[in-house]
Amino acid sequence: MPKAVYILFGAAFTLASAYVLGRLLLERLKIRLYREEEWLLGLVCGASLLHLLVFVLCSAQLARKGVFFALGAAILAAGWGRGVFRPSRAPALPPLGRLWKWLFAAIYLAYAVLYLSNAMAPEMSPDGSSYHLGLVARYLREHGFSRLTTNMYANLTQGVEMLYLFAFAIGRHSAAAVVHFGFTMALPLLILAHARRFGLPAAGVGAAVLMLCAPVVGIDGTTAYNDMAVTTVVFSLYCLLQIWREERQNALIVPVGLLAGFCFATKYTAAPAIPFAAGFLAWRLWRARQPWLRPLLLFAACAAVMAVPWAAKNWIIVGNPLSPFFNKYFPNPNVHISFEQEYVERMRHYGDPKSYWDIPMDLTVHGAMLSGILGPVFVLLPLALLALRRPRGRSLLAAGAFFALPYLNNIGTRFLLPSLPFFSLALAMVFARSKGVLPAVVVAHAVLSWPHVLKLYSSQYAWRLERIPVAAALRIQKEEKYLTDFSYGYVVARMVEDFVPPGEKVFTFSGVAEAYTSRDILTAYQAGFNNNLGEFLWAGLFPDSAPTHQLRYTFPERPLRHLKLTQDNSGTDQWSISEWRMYKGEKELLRSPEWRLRAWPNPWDVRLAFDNSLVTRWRSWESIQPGMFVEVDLGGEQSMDSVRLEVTKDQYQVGLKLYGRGERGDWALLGGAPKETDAPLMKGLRRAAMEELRARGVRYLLVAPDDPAGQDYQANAALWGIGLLAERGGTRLYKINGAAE
Amino acid sequence: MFRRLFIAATVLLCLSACTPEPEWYAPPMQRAALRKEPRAVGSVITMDSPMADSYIVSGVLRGEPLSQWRWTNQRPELRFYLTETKGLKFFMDFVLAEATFKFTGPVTVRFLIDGKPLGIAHYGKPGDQHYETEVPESLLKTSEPVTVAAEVDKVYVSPQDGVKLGFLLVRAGFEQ
Repeated sequence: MPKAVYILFGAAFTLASAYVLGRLLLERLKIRLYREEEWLLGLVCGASLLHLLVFVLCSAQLARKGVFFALGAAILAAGWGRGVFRPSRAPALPPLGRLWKWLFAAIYLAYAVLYLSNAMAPEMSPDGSSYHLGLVARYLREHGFSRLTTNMYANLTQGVEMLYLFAFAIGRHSAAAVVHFGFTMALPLLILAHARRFGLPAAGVGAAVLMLCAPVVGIDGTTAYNDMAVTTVVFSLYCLLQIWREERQNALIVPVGLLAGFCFATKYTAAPAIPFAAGFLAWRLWRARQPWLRPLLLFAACAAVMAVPWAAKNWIIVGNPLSPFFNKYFPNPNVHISFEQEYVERMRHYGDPKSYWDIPMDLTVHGAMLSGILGPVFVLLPLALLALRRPRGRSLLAAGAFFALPYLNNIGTRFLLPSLPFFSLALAMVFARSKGVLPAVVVAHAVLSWPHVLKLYSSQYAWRLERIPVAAALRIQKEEKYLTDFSYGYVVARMVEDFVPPGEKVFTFSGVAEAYTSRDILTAYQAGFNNNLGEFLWAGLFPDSAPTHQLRYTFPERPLRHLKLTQDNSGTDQWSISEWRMYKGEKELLRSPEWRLRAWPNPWDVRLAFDNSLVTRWRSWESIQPGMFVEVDLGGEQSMDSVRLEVTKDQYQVGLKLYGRGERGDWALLGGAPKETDAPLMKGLRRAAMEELRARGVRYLLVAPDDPAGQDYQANAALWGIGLLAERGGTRLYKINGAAE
Repeated sequence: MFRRLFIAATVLLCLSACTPEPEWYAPPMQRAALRKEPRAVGSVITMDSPMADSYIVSGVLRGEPLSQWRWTNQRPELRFYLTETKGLKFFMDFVLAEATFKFTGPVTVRFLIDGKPLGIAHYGKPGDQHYETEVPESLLKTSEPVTVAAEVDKVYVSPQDGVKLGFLLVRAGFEQ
């Protein structure tokens, strides 16, 4: 069967299964909706249920194509039996005027063709081909969740990815992207349905087109990202809340709770949907002087059904229910606090805009800095404030502002998407009040957002659709050829697949399109374990990362069992110890299995300060603060007269004190201020670094052209103990040789 | 009932965020002291070795990884690390490509060790070539790598990019 058919079948099978589940839920709860709402809200509610079923299958190690197929077939059969596919008896929404109907249909169909061809084309989006589908492919290979602690992206909630997995099992990468396309195309219809319900058909068309044609919607919503699915779920939640507000159908609290929880399950940045919905329900019930506890508990229970499994998974696997964030409150070895702080800071500032006044133009017109464009029409967004004059406008603007809050933590354009339907509808309401303005704006937006027009004014680096790849979508043009021509990430991933044996680990400082390789990729920034591997290599390369400094505490010889080094300063530096050695005279005390070591923070790595390796070090992995310590229990008293710390120089703010005590007695300060000296020239660190990687099961190294150590790996391959295996476009794959090689 | 469940869940969540006492760990396996650089290069290299880059000082173009030969410029230089200096011969296996020979005609190659002359060879036809000569002990050392250069008198100059092509290097080094 042609590949394109598999892609469409995989996506349609997934969306149909979700739709049927949702319709069955709405029917079971006897919720009364308009016909169009039944279709659209049924799809979104069902997506939440389907995601949960796939989550359960992944937890039970049953994530297999046959199982998904059987599940989907059973759902569709149940839907058939319950008459889901028969024409609905629900009333239709008020009809659209002729002009608006044809205008909307023409734009919607044109963009549907553009978007579908891009969604069906081979998937090569940066995040989609690296972690969204990289993890999906992994779950399918391993038949479910595994104890994956070396990829922080696996700790993000993956509600939409569960749907992708269902589709991916049948139609592979592009089927997942087409599922996302399904949500992208459903959202404008949902906006329109919502507006028609509340007597705003023209504004509904305007908002639907503003949303549909926004260039960032096109590029994001046709790839295996998840932002448009998240946006659709958020707006569906809002629609259900408004319907509940109007009609007070108590049964609506169930889907409201499910969708609020599903928001958390799809993306952390959508988690505010839970307090939003809870606050909305509580406020409305309190104002109507109705009982609020039972409805809110029902809401909380439904939300928990969707959200708790993800938190529990993280708690079990990585020791932090909200990983990769909040590591200060849930300390764990898998995501370092300092990394989290740097990551959050980077997301807040992106390409370091020269001025915050640059942001509006980049968001709407240029798109070079913030990855994606809303479209020039959104320059007029401040006019949406005029909608404050009407209650519906106030409600929309309040919701939009609330869902825009996470944008403060990530200023990439796509993080505005959850708030965009609200702002679009408010803006369209304003335009609709002046005759002829709204149709002109709608047509202008549709024209200005078309790829061939877009490229005339946007930055060449903007993240946007560039072509209408019909031949690639239908696989008339070979997938391999298309990916090789347009995706460097794919070429590198295939090099890894071709040259690295199955089951092997590859370490890299740059990302890899993991969706196209089955090898275990350890990217330096993606986990605590990987951070350490990167540290080892840097110690081999840069003197600042190697222990070029020594601190010696000298004191009158005395028997000691416990030694404790405390850090009492505050600052931005991190504290680290490469080696801790104890001496009696010139003779070092031999390390014994009876010794016991502990540290705070980062207790898990304390042994790196006692392993006799100069490329490894225990490190606080967070800024210094009083109360940090490293402690040794020798198991029994041993005489000594000095302690030597071998350290890196990058910790000027650190203030240390050494304490000791015997079997009994109190802690006593040892040695006062340490004598500081430079360490003798160290050789062999490069090879030692690679030995550390090998000792942790890593035998392959992938080096991107911009890797700062790239030249050194090439010039000193023998010193590192690595050999070049392959090279593609400047990215080199090395094998780490054993000590004897 | 609901209230109790709510309180229990809240307490559980709060407890999970409490900072635990750090655990004690035994010392790890000790790494062997590594205080000197291993030898970066040996005395013989073939171009299909993954280590080939380490032997090249200059004048050799990058080839496909693991390719059996690499193009040289006019004066390729290689470095070798020797453990002894007595009774050694230097050899080089290379190919004069027909495509370049058509333009250059017969060529003369001058071999040098650390800039001092080792020998001269004349090649009148294209194809596989083997150069071999005994090396005076006085030219060699073990304390640091020795550098060998092979200087070609005539090269093919690519009309597209101006790159000078000498010969195809296959293998070189010192042996008894």
